[in-house]
Amino acid sequence: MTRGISRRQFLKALALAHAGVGLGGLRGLQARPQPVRLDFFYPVGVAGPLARIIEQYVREFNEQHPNILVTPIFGGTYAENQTKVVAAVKAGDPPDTAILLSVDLFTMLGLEAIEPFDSLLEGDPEGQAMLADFFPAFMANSTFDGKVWSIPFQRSTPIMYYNKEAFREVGLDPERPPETWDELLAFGKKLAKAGRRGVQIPEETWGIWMLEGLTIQAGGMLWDPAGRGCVVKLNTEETATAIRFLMRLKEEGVSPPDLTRWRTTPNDFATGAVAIAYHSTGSLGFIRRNARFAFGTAFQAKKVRFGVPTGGANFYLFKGQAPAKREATWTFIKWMTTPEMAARWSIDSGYVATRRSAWELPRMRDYVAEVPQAVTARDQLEYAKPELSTYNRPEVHVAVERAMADAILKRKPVPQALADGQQRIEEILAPFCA
Amino acid sequence: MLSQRATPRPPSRVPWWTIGLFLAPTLVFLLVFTYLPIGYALLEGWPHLKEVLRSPDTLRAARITLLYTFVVVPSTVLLGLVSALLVEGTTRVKLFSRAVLFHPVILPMVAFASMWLYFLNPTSGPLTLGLSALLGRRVSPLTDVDLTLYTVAAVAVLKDFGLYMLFFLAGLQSIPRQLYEAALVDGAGAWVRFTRITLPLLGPTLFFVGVFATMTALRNVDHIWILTPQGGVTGEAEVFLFHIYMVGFFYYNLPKASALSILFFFLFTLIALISIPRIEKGIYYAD
Repeated sequence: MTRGISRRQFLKALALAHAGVGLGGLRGLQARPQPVRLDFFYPVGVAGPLARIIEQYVREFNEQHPNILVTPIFGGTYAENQTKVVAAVKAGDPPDTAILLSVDLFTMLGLEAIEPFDSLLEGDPEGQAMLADFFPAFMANSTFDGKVWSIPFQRSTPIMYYNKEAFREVGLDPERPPETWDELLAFGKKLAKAGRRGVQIPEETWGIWMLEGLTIQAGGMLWDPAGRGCVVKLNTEETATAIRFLMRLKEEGVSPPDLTRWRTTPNDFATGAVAIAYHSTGSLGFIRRNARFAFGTAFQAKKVRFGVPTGGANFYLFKGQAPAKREATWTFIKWMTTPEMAARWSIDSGYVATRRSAWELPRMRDYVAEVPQAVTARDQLEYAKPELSTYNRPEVHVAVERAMADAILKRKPVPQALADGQQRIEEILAPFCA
Repeated sequence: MLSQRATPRPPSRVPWWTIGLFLAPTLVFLLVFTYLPIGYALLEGWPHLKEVLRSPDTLRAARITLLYTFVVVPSTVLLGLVSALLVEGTTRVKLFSRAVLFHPVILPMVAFASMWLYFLNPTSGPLTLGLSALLGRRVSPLTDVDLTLYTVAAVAVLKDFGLYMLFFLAGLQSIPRQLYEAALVDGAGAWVRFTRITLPLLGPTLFFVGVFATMTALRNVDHIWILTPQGGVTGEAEVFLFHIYMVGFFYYNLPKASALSILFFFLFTLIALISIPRIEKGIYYAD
């Protein structure tokens, strides 16, 4: 025991160590001004190690900007992250920026939580050039009342994935995916056999997103983008057509008889349990890594026209931010959305590179040469419509999917389910829109 | 008798600030996380009580909660009782089984539910695959809309019955051996001994466990949160507390969530006030 240090010695050493740390900190303070500290909340919406990639980007930004220190805060899923952000805003301590769903513009407006980017864009030609470079479809959910409320970051569209080997096996041309609903049904019938479904279109979790696509393809729209966040059109002929098509796929044995799952669909496709699947382009990375067969991507089939909604999340600004931090936040957002970063993020994740010029970069050209499936989502943007965005969006979302389930599971006749759902949505929107 | 007890130190000798000092750490947390929120919920929620009472969602949540409770409570209590009867004794096998059955109780609910999430995964879960193979069609206990509620109920039962088993074991120990011996002499069979001696004398335990299980069933939402993203594909497992959470933190409607909380509190209290005296009437307390 005598060889050990005494308690007194230990305490002395501890005190000295603390003093050293303190002094070291002081020295650092003298050497350069305190950096502007920013809190940045972000979600991860798809499978994969995306949090690690975001943290890496932020680390690089901090290294390149010694006077700014961004702290990335992983918020969980989209819903969990948004709950954290709303709680922080309500508590009077908002984050400096956060990535939230582009369609939650009105939800956040309803909570009086966000501010537009216009004061930053004014007199910033670089920023304005950036806006002009985004695909217009990705900006559609960002603007309201002539103001820009969010900057596109991780954006996607739903696409069709198809198993080329299964096509070959049943005598279909693997370079000729189905283009119309009738073909989708006919091809699906050919492809279905014991242990393999023909077609899978998710009907829950993000089933609303699929319903929007099918409604657009049937010639309608699930909502009115000019309706100031107040107009959902669930009870329409086109929506009924879309739901009846989903039911037809089940009746003909092409799709699973119960509700088709959002989460399991990429895995079902990658393991060959289904030959044609509708899912986000964000799942391309997962499917590419896991599918042991040649597969293709294509536009979703049309009834009277091609079309899908856009999807994904953007950067937002919050009320109550200290003015000194705003410029630094803007620097960070601009850095995260440069063409180079857009290309990197697209390659790392599978999301669509948001800026047109990103696709001209050598890095992106190489990627497209290697993974030709990646261009489908971009080309489909030409036919894309803005995604359903209303006040109280999370509750509207749940109401639409429960109406869908009521119809598909035959708890109610289709018109009844849609009429009831529409009435429910009117009630949800009433406090904001009446 | 009284004189043998140590007389407590008169409170006046302790200065008030000492009491305050020792109470402070607990009091601060109670104040910030319990009392103030209660006050806030009352103020915020009261004006919305009528709206909430009229909402079909409230009725739906209440119905789901009732069904959930009626499934969970009897199964947990029965399973606890049966396992207690089976593992009573001191043989090595019984002691080991007791430990195994009790094990889920000491696990955090989140960990326990996550484990079941793996077994019940709709595409790759061993249980899902096994069940589907057995029945010859695709069955997913967690995501088939008709099964979700019963599946989350089953997970809750498996988590909790071990605790009740422990209570029943303690209850069984307190039954005097002579009663069984006398019954044996009188030629009573196992069933008669159980229904005429064990069950009546377990009354207080049974009552306590029943009330405790009901409270737990009404309060437990953690496992539903882990096992189902939004209380089931179309909200089949959206029990009352879960509904309050959805309204408050998913739809960001705190006033409505507060009103629901008030309603829940009153319903809870009402159930307790009506049922506890009635049930207690039929119970025999020794001593």
